[in-house]
Amino acid sequence: MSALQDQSGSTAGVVVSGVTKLYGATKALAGVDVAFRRGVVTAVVGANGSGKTTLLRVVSGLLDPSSGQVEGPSGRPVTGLTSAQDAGIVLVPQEPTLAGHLTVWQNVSLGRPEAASGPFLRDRAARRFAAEHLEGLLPASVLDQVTSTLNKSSRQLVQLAAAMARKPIVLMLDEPTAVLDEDGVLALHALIRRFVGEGGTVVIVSHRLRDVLELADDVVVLRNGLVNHTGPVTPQTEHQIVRLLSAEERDNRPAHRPDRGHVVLEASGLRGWRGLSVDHLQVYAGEILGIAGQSGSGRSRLASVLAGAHPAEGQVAVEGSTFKLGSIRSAQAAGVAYIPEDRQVTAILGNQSVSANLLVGREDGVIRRGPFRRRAAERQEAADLIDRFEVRPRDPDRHAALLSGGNQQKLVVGRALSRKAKVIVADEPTQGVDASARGAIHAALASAAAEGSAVIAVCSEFEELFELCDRVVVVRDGAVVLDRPIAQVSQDEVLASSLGSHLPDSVEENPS
Amino acid sequence: MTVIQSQPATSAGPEPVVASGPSTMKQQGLFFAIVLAMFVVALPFLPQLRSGPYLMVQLATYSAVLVMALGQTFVVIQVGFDLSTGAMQGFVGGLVFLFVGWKLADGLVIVLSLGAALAIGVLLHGLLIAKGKMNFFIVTLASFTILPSLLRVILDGSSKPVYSPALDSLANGSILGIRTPVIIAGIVFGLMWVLLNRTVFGRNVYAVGSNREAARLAGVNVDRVTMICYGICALCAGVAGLLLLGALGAADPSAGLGNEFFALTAVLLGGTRFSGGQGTLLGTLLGLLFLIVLSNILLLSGMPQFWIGAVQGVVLLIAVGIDRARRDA
Repeated sequence: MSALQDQSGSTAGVVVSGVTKLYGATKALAGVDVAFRRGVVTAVVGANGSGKTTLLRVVSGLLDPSSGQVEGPSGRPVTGLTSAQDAGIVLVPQEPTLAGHLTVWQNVSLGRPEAASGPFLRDRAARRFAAEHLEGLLPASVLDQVTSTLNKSSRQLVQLAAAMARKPIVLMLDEPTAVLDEDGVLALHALIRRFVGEGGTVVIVSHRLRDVLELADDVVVLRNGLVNHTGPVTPQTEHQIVRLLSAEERDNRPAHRPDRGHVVLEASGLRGWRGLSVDHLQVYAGEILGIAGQSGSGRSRLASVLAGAHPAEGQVAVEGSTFKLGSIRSAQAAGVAYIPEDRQVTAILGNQSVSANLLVGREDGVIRRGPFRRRAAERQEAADLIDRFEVRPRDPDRHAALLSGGNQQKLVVGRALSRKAKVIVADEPTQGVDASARGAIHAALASAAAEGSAVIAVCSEFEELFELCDRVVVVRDGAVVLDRPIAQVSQDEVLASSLGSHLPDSVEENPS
Repeated sequence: MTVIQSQPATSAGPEPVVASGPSTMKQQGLFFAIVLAMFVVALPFLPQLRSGPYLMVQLATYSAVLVMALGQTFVVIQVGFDLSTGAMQGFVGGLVFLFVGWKLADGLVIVLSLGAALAIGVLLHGLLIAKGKMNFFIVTLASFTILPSLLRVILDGSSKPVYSPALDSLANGSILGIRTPVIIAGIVFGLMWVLLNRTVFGRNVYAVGSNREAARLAGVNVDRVTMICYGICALCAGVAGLLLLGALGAADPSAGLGNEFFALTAVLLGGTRFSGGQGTLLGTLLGLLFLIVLSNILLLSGMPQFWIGAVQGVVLLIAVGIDRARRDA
């Protein structure tokens, strides 16, 4: 690896040399040499399972490398978590690690010397300290809220504030924008710019083109645990990065979908559960309906009620027959499949095998005979799903917790789509997955629609909404405020109606 | 049960390293080798271990505990613990005493006592824990105090001789030189193994233990899984109760108490984890064999009986500690 580019004039914040990390026989990192410069944002990109998260964890001391070493900003080697913390290296992981039952200010000031004097806690100082770090990220009104009551986007921002409260010199961000809504992304970008302006080092792993192009000065491309490319983001390399990140994305999409057919799902008079109030909603065979809205607007609530995961008043019928609201099994019997939002908490069986994760909940004749499992058929079915959704590594016996986040998401999607359901409710179907997996998931949803299913997808990202969906409903305060074919609506209109303003904000996205 | 389950895997640590399937098999091979090695090394020094009849008595004695531990394994895998299995073992003895006193036929006595155990497991423990969302520890702690108390009421506080020809031959007979309790434990092991490893229900037990909410959203009837597991556990404790009663020839007010923790020690030594989703019946069997071999070696080489519990506790800490350290490494 001769590509280590430590340009003269800019000192290296972190130097990684010859780092290898083995998991059993699998090489997550295979001799990585790379330098992250001071005062610069470095984007680390690559496919799911290419070693991005492992690299971040090694640098931040959470994982010991099998060989090689990491040098911190002071030039001293980083060995383990404590020495990384001493060196000012702070990781914001992809999945939040906050104490859910504590308040926001308690989480932000947790373990900080500012929050205590000697052995005693100083609540007022701690709260003030937390407020300082939350500024610009979230409104001060959330300070006293219990963290678990916040939505995912806000929790991610609290996590970020907690990281900043540790006064980092090097900030490592793993997919920070995967769960953020539009406001959150803007706040994060502003924070990152300020931080590198003050001489900080930022390393960001992201699948989002926008993060890379708007923020990064340097880019590191990983492939199969090796550095494939490293260098500055210039107009010349930009094209290459775009191609890498969006590779295969559009090719997989079926060229033609039949016109929308009969009404498959019909909901009426939905009431309850934190202000949900939807009078009437129809979803047709062959269409992909996008549900948009700010986080906390009720978009996920609506989806989970339609999927039978949460009780509510009212009626939901699939091809004319209603199911019992709040009974996921009744909804499944009626032909609904569900891809839940919060992968770690509500979807993945971490200490079970890939194949168990793909097949859990299935009771159809393909893989069972009476009460007994048909194990040969199970193996075949799992292998087929692994191939179809490109799960990597291709090992049906590996525990799901050992897979990267994107590959875990493929398991959740594969599980739902293998049911051949009439209605597919997908809450953020591509959160945290790379471009090629995203393409595969979009293609799978589209082909389910083409075969006559009604697909309902909650999309917080405009990019996904406009790329995937045929029709959009916007939810605000639990109610549907806009319902229109995607071809007849602009991003500004969706944003404006989700915010409840009729004057479109100047928040514009240039499709690059 | 919420305490344990509400902790998602993510909050546990930086790297959720978990053993995968094949390595579990390797661990069990290693465990078996250790048990075997202990036995073989002790053979030249302890002549009793070379006596077939002595070994058969040992196996027959511990068969009841094995059956109990097998049922407990189901409950622990789906996240939980049944504190009342020892109490149930004794309580079933009291029921048999009652039914035999009513001059019921032997077969009916067995069916009714096991039916009562199953009903308590499913309808009391399972229902309150799964549907009532009550903590498993509290629910089974209640049974842990209620059942022995009822037993004393039934027996009027003292040990009562019970003679039932069927139970006598069940506990004290032998077929082709193998004692019947061992055969019964073998049959229960086979049935339970098929249930856990070859049925959709068994797969769901692991799924519920791994992530209850994810299993629910994937369409698993999680409440039913929990109820059946507590039912299996109580039923196994009931079978253990019949074996104990037959062996003693009497219903005793303190019968069975303490066995729940001995059985649990075997379950945990066998690699089943309190955090759920992991564990095997073969592991439980090996865990119990390990305890039997260990205590035999210690007792036969002259260690006073009083020390055995201390040794077993320390061994449990060491075993779980090694497992923990290996996962953190």
